[in-house]
Amino acid sequence: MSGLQVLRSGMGASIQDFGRTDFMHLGIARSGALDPISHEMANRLVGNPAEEATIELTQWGDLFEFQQDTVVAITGADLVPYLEFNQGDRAPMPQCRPVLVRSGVRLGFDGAKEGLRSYLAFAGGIAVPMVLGSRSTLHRAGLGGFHGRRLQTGDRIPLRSLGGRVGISHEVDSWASSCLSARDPHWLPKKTSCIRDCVWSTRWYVPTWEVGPSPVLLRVLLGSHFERLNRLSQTVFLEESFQVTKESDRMGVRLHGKGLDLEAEMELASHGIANGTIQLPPNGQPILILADGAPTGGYPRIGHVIGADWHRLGQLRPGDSVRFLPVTLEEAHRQRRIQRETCDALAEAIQREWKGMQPCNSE
Amino acid sequence: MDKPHLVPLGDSAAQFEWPEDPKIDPIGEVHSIANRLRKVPRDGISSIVPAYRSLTVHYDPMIWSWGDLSHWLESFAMDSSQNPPCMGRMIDIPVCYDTELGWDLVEVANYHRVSVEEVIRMHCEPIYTVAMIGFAPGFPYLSGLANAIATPRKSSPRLQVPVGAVAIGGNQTGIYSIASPGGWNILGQTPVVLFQKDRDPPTLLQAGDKVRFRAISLEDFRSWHGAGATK
Repeated sequence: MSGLQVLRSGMGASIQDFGRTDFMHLGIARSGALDPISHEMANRLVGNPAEEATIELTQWGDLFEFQQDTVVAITGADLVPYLEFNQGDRAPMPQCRPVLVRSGVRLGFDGAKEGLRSYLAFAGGIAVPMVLGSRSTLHRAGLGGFHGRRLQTGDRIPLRSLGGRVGISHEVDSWASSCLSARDPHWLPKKTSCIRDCVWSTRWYVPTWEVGPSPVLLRVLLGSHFERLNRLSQTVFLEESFQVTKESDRMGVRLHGKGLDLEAEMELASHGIANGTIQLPPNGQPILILADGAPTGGYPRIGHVIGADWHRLGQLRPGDSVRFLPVTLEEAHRQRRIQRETCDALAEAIQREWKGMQPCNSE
Repeated sequence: MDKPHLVPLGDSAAQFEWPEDPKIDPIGEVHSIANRLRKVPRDGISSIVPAYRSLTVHYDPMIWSWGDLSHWLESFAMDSSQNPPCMGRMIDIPVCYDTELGWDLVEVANYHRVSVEEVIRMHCEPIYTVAMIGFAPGFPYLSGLANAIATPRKSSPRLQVPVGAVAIGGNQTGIYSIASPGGWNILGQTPVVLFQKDRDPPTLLQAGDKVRFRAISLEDFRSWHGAGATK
């Protein structure tokens, strides 16, 4: 036996990477992790390239059983993950750091205290085929991921195995084998904690990305039709907060607030839209387009959340409130650049930590 | 013709917008600029998405500044006389217009006070242009529908429209490429597969292609997959 067994599926877990960007002209949504930074960090922690697939977990309820030894990491929202052992007892699952688990250990999630989605990465990635250049699931089209759909109870997700195989970072692999062969704590690799006889973690971690307190501030570029809002609605859009409703999913976040009105009704021909586009349907309540949203739409576009804030969109949950802050395009690009540098610096720090894991204490 | 206006669509896409003026139909120019852009692949440019009155270009802001991007894109739109007319492929699509599959055929006929046969004839007659692909993978928005059978969308959308449904929504006609909710009036169904993930390209149609509908019988529809499975 091998892989990851889904003992119970929760609120909608799916396999995601950075999505497919080259097929929007064929009506194929980009897909991909809704919090791409957490996705990337989960991969970096287990020694993967940023673009390997991870499991995106939503809110709570999933229960997995590892059916092989593997090194994993959880990042993103704190879904209160726990480890469950054969004796039926539990321990908290460490987050934002690499964790080696032995076959037979179970991993569950009690539910988000804050935020909505977390990412589970495996050393070597998830062994599902690439479809149109990506492993991301677009379940509406039955595309990618695990058989084109969200994870279901009974699924067994194929993982790459430890033990000198291609696709797994050398440092991660040898750390795992040193842990597995250590007869007593003295023989453990440096900076390693033994949580149980079947779970080890590193003593270092990376800080998680915070979503920010409510209302979540989202920086926006004003859209082509912002000026078509009446005066009052322009002010409301920029100064009031909006609530995230339950009718939100991977396609979009539906907001509720003081209704926004156009100066005059508009009949628009369908046009291209993008991740983060803020649409205004006739009911006056804005919709934030997310990664599984169709690449074209027909509603007026009153704004666009900037790329540096997309990861926040993925963490919005029903009941949260958001506010919009207009910025310039230059500022948006600068923020994106700064964010990239920060992620790269963290990735390098993780790599340095991994190099420092060798050799063992034993010498 | 009015020049398109280039605007940012967020911080990682740019959009040419043509005026929302029913007297202007820029679709030929949209496709022609799209085709010219595709002939010069550049790093950091991903999807180029044509639509009725717009052309969207998705870019990587780590590679492109707005200044460089807008100058490069505008050079393509500057001189429309250089844009060769767009030569799409001609694709025949068999459709079974039997009322068993054309769930709204009778309703559409009644709405226009014509016979079902007349609706079918008018739907098969024109050569349509794929104005754009959108809504779902491989879903073609076809322009060229006869005004006499333009029909408003249904007041309440169906929760599930079958894959292959050929339908009318306002003055547009299209084909549901995957099963999905939808509010268009269903005239018939095609056995042809419009979206297949392991095909290259994954969709049968692309913007700029020409489409003709050909009526087939219910028997032909049912036996299609047996006979045409090798395709």
